[in-house]
Amino acid sequence: MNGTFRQSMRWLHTWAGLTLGWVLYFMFLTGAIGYFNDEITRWMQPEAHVTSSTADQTQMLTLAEARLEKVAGDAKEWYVDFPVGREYFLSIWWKELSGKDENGDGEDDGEWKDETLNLQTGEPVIVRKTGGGGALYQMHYALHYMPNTIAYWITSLSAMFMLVGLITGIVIHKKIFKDFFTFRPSKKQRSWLDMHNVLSVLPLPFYIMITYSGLIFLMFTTMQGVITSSYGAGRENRDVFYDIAFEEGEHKDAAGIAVDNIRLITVLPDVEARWGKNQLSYIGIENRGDINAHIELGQHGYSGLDHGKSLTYNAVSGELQHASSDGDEVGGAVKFYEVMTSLHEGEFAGTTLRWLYFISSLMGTGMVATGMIMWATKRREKAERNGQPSKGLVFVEQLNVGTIAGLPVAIAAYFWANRLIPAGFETRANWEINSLFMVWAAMLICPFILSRKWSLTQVWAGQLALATVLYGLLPVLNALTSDQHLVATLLQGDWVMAGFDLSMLGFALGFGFAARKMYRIASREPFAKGNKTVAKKVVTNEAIEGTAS
Amino acid sequence: MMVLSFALAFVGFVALSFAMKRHFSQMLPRGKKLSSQQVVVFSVVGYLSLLLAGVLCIMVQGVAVGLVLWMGVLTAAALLQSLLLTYRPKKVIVIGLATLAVGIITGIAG
Repeated sequence: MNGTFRQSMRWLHTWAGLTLGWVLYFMFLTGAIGYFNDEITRWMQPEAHVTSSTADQTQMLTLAEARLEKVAGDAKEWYVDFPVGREYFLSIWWKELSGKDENGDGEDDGEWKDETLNLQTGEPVIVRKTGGGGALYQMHYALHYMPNTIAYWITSLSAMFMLVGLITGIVIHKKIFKDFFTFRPSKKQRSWLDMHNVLSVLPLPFYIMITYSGLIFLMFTTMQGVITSSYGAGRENRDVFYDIAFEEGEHKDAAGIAVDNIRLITVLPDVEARWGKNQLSYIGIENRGDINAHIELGQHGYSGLDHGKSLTYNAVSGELQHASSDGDEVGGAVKFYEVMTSLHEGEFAGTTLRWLYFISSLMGTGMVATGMIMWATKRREKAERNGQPSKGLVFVEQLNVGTIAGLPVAIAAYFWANRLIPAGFETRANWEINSLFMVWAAMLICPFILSRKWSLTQVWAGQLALATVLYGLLPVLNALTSDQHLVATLLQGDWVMAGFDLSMLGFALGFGFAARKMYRIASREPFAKGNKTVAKKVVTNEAIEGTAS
Repeated sequence: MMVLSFALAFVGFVALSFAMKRHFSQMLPRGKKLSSQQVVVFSVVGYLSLLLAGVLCIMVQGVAVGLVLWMGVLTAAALLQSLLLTYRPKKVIVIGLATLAVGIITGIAG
């Protein structure tokens, strides 16, 4: 913190970016991946085939309900998802008792179960259990191996630091218009700065939206004091706030009085009279078997940023309780919240826009990475001139390679685990995720272990080469472990499955270029063995201070 | 229509780069100078083209989604121009014209 306003902002930008940079990198990468969560899940469950069929939703619902009655007779919540949009399969969901109460609200937490159903027969398709793309997306905000609340605080704090980074970045970037397109490679430090600037400025509208909306998304955790001060502490008081804010009036809790409910199929004629045939995205029932049971269903498609219309029926009488098109009773603040979260999640996005979201998110990943690399290379240059590199610098350098190159390797490992762990293995979903983190841990540790024999550049080259191999061979692994391999899917015009394999090849190409570049640099380095600087210079106090700033 | 929108955004950024001395000399053979009149013309054409790209997005997807789409298209187009200026500056004009042609054809056909 020193000197002029701009210098202070530069200091703030550096430290806001560096402190939680690795968390932000993780969030940007998993967030980018999250935009294709459904497509990734398809690749991770190759047993399920998308059959183009003209099965009508009445028939599908009949089959689904029959299956639910068979396997979920005691469940209090049922849902049926129809194969529309990015929902590729007919599936049923139900909530069973879990025997746990981890969120401490005095009620059983419940455990969601699901089955993918064959469109013609209604029989379950045997698919391997997996977290799929959804698990990667969840890590984006809920991290892993920790209670949600702690994760939300970490990711929200990171988002706040990101916002500070964005604003300070804009302030300190004097030549934001002049250097708009400027990227000058082969100029060492200047090139990293150019790349960082291009990656930061071009998707700026996206970054401002995604960061601010991300903070809004988690505000019920981070700004809980606001709710407490108006409604009182504790879960019951908070629920009063949520009911008022989100007008959950028609979503009454179970009254404890057992009454027979109508079948889901009963409301279909009324729905079809209002919307036409085959319009459903989902249909479900809550408080099943109770007097306050209600059936809720939604229309597929989006109008602008909003979800399709929804209808709620009384599950005892079959009467319509609420139609979302009755007009929005929610207040301006809730509407703002819904717009923000809608923009963030981009569920309304079609294929083109989804790819644009993905590209912008990857540029964000690059923005964070180039920033952290710049910090390290600048300090390293200073250290080589003035004496010993500080322990902090070495730590950052090794964390950089282990995260920037290592996390992509770990994500590839997640996909490899999906095909290598036997399909029938009971806890395979957890072990797929464990594989991701185990490999990431290995990537983080290996720079420390290898530092005696390998220079940092060689470690970079090695991890990037590993990424190249792992991503490049994924389509081969697919061919060896499923019948939905690239040749077959291209011939069938199945662009989701083919798209995954092709994208993996594309990423492998990118990692390959990067690895080759690092190998070339490593072979030109004077001290190819180890990262030991020649500590023959006299280390002065000035040099230490200069290194440490 | 999205191809045309992207083409217009790309051409817009090409025009805006022509209005900048550094990029003007990157894209054109040596000796050509950028006059202050040309700066105005290129800038106006550039911004109008970017705006038109946005109008197309809104026409296709409505205001809400259209604006979001526009931002994404601008980012992608600017990225392409950035990379071209770095690695193939002399080819920008040809690529710009080709992209515009493809955009117009798909726009009319669609």
